[in-house]
Amino acid sequence: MPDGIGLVRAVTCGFVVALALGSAGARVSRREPVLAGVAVIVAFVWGLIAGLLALPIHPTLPPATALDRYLVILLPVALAIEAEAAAGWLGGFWLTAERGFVALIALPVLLHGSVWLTGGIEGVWIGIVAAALVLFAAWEGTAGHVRATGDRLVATVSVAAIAAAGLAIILAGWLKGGMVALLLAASLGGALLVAWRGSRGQQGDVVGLAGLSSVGIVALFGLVVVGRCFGRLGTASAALLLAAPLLVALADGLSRSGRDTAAARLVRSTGYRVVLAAVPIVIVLVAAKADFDAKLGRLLVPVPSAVAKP
Amino acid sequence: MRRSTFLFAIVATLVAGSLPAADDYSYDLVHSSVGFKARFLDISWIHGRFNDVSGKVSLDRQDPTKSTFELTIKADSVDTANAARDEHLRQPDYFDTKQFPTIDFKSTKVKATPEGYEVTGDFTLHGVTKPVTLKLLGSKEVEAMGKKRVGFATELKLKRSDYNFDKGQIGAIGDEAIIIIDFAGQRD
Repeated sequence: MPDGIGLVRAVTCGFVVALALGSAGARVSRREPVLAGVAVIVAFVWGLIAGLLALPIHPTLPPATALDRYLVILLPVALAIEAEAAAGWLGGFWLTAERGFVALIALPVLLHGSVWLTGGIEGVWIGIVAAALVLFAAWEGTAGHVRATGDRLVATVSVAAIAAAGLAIILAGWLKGGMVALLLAASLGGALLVAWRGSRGQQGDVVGLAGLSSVGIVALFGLVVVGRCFGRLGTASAALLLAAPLLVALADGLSRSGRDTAAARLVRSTGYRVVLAAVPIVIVLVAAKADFDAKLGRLLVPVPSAVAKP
Repeated sequence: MRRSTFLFAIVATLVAGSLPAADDYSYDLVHSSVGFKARFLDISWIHGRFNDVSGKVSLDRQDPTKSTFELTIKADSVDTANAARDEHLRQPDYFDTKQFPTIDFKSTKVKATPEGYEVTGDFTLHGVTKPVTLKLLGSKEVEAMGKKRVGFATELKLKRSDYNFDKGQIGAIGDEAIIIIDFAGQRD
């Protein structure tokens, strides 16, 4: 079992590698924002790989578990699509179609071979279609919103929600799943910091913020699905975590769509939207801690001896 | 006379042909158990059992090599007398019961021994199938409580790391585990 220091080391490693590679890529492609957009996505990938190697966590091939399929299939496909989009190789209908296709197959891929698909659970396909629609709407909506506005908070909240999902999954008893989430948050955070710096004073999406925001949403979605269906992450917790970055994007989008009143400016303000995102995340963490104390925490508490002391 | 002998031979052949060549026993959940133990901190053993097990044994007393043994264990039914620990064991760090709901054994080769049977078969745990050989003690049939009964006892030593269990979780609970099977079969 990896100790806390080992986990901190791996998380730091993922963050530093993503930050260093992203910075180097951004410097090299200073006059080519398109390439900088791809560079931050590549930096995230290498940050994640470095973190996984540092722990070490090796997905099995062919992927046998949901977490393996998440790391080996869903994330790489989403990253490839967003890298294509950042590079300008893909756009319009084909980009939407690719995202739609991945949204449709995401759950069948993650749940492959499990009791969810083989156990004859009633209504499971309705849930799969509903989840596909949620993912597609969240993915397309977030990407479009960030591309148009350069909103930096969506990806930031995604990082926070992924980290919170990791902690909640660990507290629910799945150490490996939670550690992967923390590595994801760290490497996405490292790449995001580069995009933040590059986007300073710029309008719209210039250095892959939309790509990182999209990757963050897909990563968060896959994580809460895996945590809910294979770990002990509750349905409400999964929904609240996924809602956090979407609320941030929605608040900004809605406040821009109407008249520019004081209320709209308040809703659009960073402080208001941070609170909006923090509430569901804090609720999930408090509930996860309470559940841990009530159940798994007891395994770590010494049981008093049955023999009475003299 | 010759005609009646001929008829008898035909009837005897037909009856023999219709008789089952083997005795089929189903798993008697009440009088059987599948338990396990795993090393704890390399100082002692943690014991547990699986409460939901099914299986069947087909014994061919004339030709034991034609006998078959099957066992299916629902991994979800793990019971270590501690509900919180059982919940933990069902998760992906351990049995990953949503992904790998059953633990299975199916014989591929059977040999009679003075103590019972030596059964080679495919053992599937945590999604990994490996050939194993079990030494089964017992084979005597008795009649009790309105049924014909047979019983076997065996143990299977394994390493969790051989079955793709997360190596990161091999520490406090050690790599080595022993599955203890006491199979009571019954037939009408």
